[in-house]
Amino acid sequence: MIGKLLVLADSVGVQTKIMGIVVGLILLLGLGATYELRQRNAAALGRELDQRAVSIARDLAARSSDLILTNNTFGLYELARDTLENNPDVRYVLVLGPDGSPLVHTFGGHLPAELVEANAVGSQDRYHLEILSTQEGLVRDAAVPIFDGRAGIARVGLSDRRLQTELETATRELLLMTGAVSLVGLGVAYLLTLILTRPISDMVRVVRGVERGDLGTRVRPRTRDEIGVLGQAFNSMAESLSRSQAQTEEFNQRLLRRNRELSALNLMASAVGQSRTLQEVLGAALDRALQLTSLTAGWIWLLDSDADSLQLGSQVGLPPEARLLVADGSQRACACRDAIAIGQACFVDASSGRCALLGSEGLQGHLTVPLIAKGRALGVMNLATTAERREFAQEELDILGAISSQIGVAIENARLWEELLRKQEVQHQLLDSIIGAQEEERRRIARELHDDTSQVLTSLVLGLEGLAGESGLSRAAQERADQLRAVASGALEGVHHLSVELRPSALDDAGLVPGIGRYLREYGQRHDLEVDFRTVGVDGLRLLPAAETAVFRIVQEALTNVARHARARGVSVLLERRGADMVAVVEDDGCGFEPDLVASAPLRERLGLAGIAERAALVGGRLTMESQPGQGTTIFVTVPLADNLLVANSDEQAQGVVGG
Amino acid sequence: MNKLKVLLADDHGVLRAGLGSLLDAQPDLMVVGEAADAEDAVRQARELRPDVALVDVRMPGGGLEATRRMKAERPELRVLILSQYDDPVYLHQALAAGASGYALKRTGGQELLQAIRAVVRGEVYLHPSLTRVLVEESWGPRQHPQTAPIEPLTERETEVLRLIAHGYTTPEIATELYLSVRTVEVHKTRLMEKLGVRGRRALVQYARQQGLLSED
Repeated sequence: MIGKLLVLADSVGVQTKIMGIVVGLILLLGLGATYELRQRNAAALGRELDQRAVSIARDLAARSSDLILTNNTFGLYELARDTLENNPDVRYVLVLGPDGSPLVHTFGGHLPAELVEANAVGSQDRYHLEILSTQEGLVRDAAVPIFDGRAGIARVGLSDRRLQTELETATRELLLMTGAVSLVGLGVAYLLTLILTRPISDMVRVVRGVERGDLGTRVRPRTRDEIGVLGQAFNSMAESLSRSQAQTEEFNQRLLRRNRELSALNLMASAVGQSRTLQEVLGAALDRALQLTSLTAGWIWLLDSDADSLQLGSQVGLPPEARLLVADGSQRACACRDAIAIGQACFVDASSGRCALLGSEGLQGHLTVPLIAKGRALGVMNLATTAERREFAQEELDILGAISSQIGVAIENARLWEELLRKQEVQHQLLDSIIGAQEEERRRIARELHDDTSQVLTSLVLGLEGLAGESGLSRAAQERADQLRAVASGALEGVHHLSVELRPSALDDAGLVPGIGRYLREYGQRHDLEVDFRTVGVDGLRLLPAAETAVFRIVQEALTNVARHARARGVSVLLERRGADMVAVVEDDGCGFEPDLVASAPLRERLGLAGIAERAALVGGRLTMESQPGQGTTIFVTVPLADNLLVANSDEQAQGVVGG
Repeated sequence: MNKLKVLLADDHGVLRAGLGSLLDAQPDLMVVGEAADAEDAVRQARELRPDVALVDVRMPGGGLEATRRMKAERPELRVLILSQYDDPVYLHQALAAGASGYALKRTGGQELLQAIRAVVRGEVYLHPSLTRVLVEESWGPRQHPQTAPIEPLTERETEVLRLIAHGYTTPEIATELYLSVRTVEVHKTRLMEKLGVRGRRALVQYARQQGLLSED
């Protein structure tokens, strides 16, 4: 029961609760009071009625004694009628004779017999009251002895109808009053709850607002009571919430800005990072910057080496006339110089007259970003603004400033890279021409040895041989001539070996395979090594002279190393065409080495290998080496055929070898 | 007895002189003409009708070219090539051009005379140092006694061996066969154990003997 009540109480609002309590209390109070009053009144009125009945009966008894004694029945009757008429509540009057028979009564005709016996009084009693229940309701019957009972008994019956009516009236009035008070109570309760709950509902509204994310609403300060204090506390809480949210918001904004900046930097880094040449770097940087600012046209001017004039580095999206003007940046002493001087991005408007380029060319203005690396201005990046896009937030300028230094570094790097390439190219060419000159010299000497020296020596040998067989000479002279022939013959042999060592003519005339073959034969005999030479798919294959020479020299150097260090029994050389490459493999069965130790070997010992590798690199090839102690050494050289193949018909080459 | 008529074609005057005196000293030989270039040599061969022409391989107009033309005009003419090069590649070219012999200039006079006489007899003369090269070319270099593997090679090992013979580096073999470098090393070691050899070169030679180095 109580539980249900609590549930019910929980389900209604505070206002309903308070009003319910107030009205309930008033009703309870009113009804209780009414009941109590009614009880008390009923008792008091009943007692009063009793006294009146007794007093009327006494009066009647007193006044009727003489009449009875005088036997004045009429008088007695008159008296009874008087009594009945003068007392409003008296319903009947009855006077009994001493024998108990009724002398007079006020009933019109028939006196109800049971009434006569309904009440009796002793002669010593002063009165006796009996409450009778009759058809007319309760009747108080008071019996008083007349002349101590000797003259009879006077009886009066008083109805309580009037009493009842009064009671009803009083009760009704009380109930009405209760109702009225209830109404007033209800009103007061309503007011009270209004006073109490308005700030609360106010607060509820604000809390709902906060819940929705609206931190701007506040509780109106109404009262100075606890609710008011609560409201103030709530207000200050909302205030600090709002402040912290604002801080969070600002922090987020900063984070977002930072993020945008970083991603711009990142994009720029990846854009310029993928570019190698200065042109590519500038193009990529300009594209990214335009993308970032939602612009479509721009250009980059670079300061020349003496920081004197501006030269066009890159341009995109400019109208034709502007393109021409931009191409010659040397005379422009415009706002760009200022931007370089202050080292900050700035906006130049056509109306400012600070740029000769603007206005006439349909360019509304430009955003100038100085490109700076290591504190040195390298140039400017100008982004042409349009009528729609001419406002730039500080944030955008900041980002542009950040990426500009990145571009600056990229420009610096690209320049260094190009410089490096140029130097490398020069170095390459230098090495190439040194090697070329060296080879040419070797070729010339080898040929000279063959064509002149050995011819002379040959005729010398032949002549001396003839001399030795000359019959006219003395025996001693003949022997001497033969000795000289042998010497000349030895010299001839030496010249021959020397020329092969210098450069086998077969290398020039017939290519790598005969060249290496010839050299190997010479090499094997000289070093007493077992050599073998295998070729796969390279017969008749001719490479460019430089490539053939390179491969030959690499093989030669490798073989020299074998003879010098390997303590080998034999060497194998393999020349193989493999796909788009030519592979030369030189391997010995010598002592080998620990590959890791080579790197730490003295420079002099590594120089041979370094030379081979360098030589291979010159023709785009690469060198690999495998070795293990006790398992010999293998050197692999891979040369791409693509750039090294001799275009001329190989048959013709083979045929025309000796012709020249 | 008719002396054999010899034409000397060489652009080196000193040599021609030396040769001339050597040949003229022979009872059966007679130098009928000397030419310093191919054009001249062909003309003299036509006009003087020599039996033998000694042709320097390297002279203006080309010794082999001269040989070809002389042989075309006079197939019965014997041509002995004189050369300073003992490379087989030149020998092949000389024989292809129609020469009957290939002599080295640094050979002595006696050797040269023998060569001329051999050629005239209709034989083919080759300088001894070239003979060895030719033999090796035709029948391959000296064969090593073959070592049979101690146990048969697996398919994988044979494949590794073939690539080793083809001059693939260990990482290249690994890539080619989808193996790790370490595994290739293990295969190599196993191969050496099975074949009872040491070193990569020995493996390569075994592979070559087995014909694993084919032209694909």
